[in-house]
Amino acid sequence: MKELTKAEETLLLAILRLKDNAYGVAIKRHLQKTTGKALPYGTLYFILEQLKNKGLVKRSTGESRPERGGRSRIYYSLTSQGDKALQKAYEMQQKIWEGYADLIWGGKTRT
Amino acid sequence: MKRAKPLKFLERLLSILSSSGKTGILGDTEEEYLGILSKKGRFKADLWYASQIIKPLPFLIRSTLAWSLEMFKNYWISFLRILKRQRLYAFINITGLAVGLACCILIFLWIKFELSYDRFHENRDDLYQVTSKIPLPDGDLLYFTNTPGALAQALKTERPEVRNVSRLVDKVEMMLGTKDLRFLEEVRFVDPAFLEMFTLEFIEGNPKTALDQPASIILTEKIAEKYFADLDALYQDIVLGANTNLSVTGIIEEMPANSFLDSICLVPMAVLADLGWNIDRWGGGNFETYIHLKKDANLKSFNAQIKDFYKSRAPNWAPSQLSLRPITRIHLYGLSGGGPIVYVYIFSGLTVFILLLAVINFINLSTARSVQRSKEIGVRKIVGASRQQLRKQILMESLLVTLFSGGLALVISYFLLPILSQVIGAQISFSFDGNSILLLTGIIILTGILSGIYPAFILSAVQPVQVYKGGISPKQKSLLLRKVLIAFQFSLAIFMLITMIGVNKQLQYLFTKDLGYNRSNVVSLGLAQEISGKFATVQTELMQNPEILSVTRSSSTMGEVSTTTGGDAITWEGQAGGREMPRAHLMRVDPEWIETFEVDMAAGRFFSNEFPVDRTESVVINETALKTMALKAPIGKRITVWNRNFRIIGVIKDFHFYSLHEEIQPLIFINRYAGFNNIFVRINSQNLPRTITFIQDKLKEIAPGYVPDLKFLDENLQNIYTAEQRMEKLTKYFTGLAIFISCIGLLGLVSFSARQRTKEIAIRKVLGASEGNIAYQLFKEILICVAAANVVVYPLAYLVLRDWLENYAYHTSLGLGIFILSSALTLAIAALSIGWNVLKASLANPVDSLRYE
Repeated sequence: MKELTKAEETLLLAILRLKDNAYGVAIKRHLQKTTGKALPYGTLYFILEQLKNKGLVKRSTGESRPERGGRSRIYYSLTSQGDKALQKAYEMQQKIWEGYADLIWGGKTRT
Repeated sequence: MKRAKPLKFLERLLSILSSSGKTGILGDTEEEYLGILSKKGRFKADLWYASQIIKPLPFLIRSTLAWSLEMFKNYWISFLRILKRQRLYAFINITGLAVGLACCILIFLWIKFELSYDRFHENRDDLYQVTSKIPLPDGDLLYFTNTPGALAQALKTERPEVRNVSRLVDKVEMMLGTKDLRFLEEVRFVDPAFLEMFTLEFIEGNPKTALDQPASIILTEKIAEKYFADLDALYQDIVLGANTNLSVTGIIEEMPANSFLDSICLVPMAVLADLGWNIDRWGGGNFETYIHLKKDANLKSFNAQIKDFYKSRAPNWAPSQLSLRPITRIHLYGLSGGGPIVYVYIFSGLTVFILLLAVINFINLSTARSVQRSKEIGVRKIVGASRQQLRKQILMESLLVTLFSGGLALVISYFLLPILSQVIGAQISFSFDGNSILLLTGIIILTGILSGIYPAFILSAVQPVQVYKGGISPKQKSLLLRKVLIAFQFSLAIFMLITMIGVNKQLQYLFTKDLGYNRSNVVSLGLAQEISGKFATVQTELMQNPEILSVTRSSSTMGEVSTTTGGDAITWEGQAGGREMPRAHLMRVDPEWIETFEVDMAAGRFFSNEFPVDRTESVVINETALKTMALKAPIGKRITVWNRNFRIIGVIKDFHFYSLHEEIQPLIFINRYAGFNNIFVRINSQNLPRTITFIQDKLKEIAPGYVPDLKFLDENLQNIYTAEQRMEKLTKYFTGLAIFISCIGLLGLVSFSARQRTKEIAIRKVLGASEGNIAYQLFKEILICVAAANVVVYPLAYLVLRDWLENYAYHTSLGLGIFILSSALTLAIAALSIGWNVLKASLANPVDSLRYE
């Protein structure tokens, strides 16, 4: 499987964090809180769709609501493949960042 | 009520961005929209909503492009695979499309050439030709470009909008050359302003002053080379006509082929005055007038003002109304309608037909192959391809095929261009500018989409489950469509075939119809100045030769009688009240005319040298004239033409003195010396070459330095129908192409269906069907389509042909023969093209076929 892009990774993590409440508005707010950047809906849904096409997330329809013009909330959750992809990404991240703190704070000089 | 919802069109845009997650994105944005609306107001909220669409655009474009490239690689591979493995299929599609597109390119080049006429003149937008029209008594309008010599100057002095004017007397045949070397050449007389108005490329001489001196001449490069070879021609002496001495003041490049002006030498109008013409009078009308209007002039109001320009100035021209036409229209549009523009339309239409045939081949073959390809599609689907992706893939394949064919078409058209140039009669160059490249690419892409779109929908609809459950059978609906398309294809081909045969038949009719006079073995030549004074000598000298039967002069040649009159201008003795002759043609001839053309008299006698009174007082009329006059006993009756009294001495049988487009009209013969333009010589059909040489030698003897230009009348007459001949040739080519493309399509289809039905055929054979039965089965389907196409197309082709034939007062009949012939031909061609496959399939050994799994 191909590596996740940074944006995909962030989104998958957000969905994982939000658990049962992972629908568009919540995901967007969460991303804004954690990254400080406002991701427009167009981009958000494009990435969500790619994730879905890759089989990393699945959709479920919630109850319809008046404040959404009678539309239902669409909740996202990770598939087992999504879980695996995140796992792999985490391991890779760790390897990449390994020893970073030592390098900064350990006082060793590099030549 | 206030709106508490996002703007509708924005919502729609947003839903395009995310087609599958529509509910989610619309709900989410509306939810947040309402929040912003209540806190910050409507404007802010709308702005925010819009930003949700606009901001992601760069990102979206980048990501989709990257994906497309990736997919394109895949499509390219599968395209190459098809080329390699499905040779027949690829061959048929590519050949068909390449031929169709080559047609497109050729016709495009030709149309571009036609439209480019006279666009190279720098002042093209402000240059006009003066045209006139006269309402005739019979209700027709007569258009012409002749004007009196005084018109140009009058327009310039009286109309402030006029910047420049020039008269033009074109293609005057005169002897021209140095003292030692002289030939008959065409010369154009113009006013000096002509050089400022029209764009001529000067090689030598001053373009501003070259025609200022009255005794000057501008030579074309070719003529300069002909007479002066390597010498510098500038300021050399040229002798024009008998003894007019001119000095070469300029040498110009040949005029481009796309100009209404032929490439000939230019001489100032003053020379014409020296030759004895009165060039500044209101009478006579041998001049064309060209006008250069000022930039801000309004053509419409100018036309309105000059409409009746003649009324107060030239009473005898008064009935004609003046108007201007842009010089860029002179070539393309005939004065009274028609012109090459008609052919531009016809052949654009035919090209679209041809291209359509190739597109149909593509559609038919692709859908027929859907059964074979279903496995590939099935696998793609199982692996996860969406319908949309599959559609894109198939569309991409057809685009690649057309692009490839387009490249091939470029090569084909390059090699076929000389043939087209020859048929059209003009040299067309193989060059494209930016816009043409854009347009042609557009056509190629459109063709690709057109041929790919339907197969894309059919193929992408394949259900993988069905494929692997035991193969799918083609749907009844798409089979029907295929048959309809084949029928349509053959309708076009048959339609063109019928038209072609019809046009050909009419052409044969035009060439061989009995015209009422004997057109063979008559030699004609223009009556040049050199011999016009010595005609009596010419006649007696020529008649010495027993092979020469008669020699005569006439004011006009067959096919173009120039002098017409009618209405009040003609009255006669015994004229019933209210009856008049709306249009009559006048022909001035010698008494020998009737022997030369071998026309019979219906009553009375023709002119004779024995009656000197014939020269001043006698006329001969034709039967149609007599009918119009409704006289019982015409001989001896008085007739007045243009206030001159004549007596009718005879009635000549009707003959076709015009082209067969028109009905025979009233004709009046006058026996006068003035105004002869042609000499006609009837010769014995034996020893033709020797007699021709004899005539040439005799004429050179009588008028030294004169080079006679002899033409055969019947060949000349065929030139009247150049347009028809051109049309016949082009329809021939187009019909050939149409049939070719339809047939290779058929061939492909039958070879597929025979392969598909291998087992069925084998089983039929095992059960006792004979080879003939099998062949019949395979033939039946296709031939029914072709036969149906025939029936559908008959009435249409009949109507179109009848319409076309009605342009001719005299035309061939549309017998059933044309239709039966073309039906038989198409059926035979269709049967032939599929015959091999049918034969192979029906002769196959059932054992092999059934074992082939």
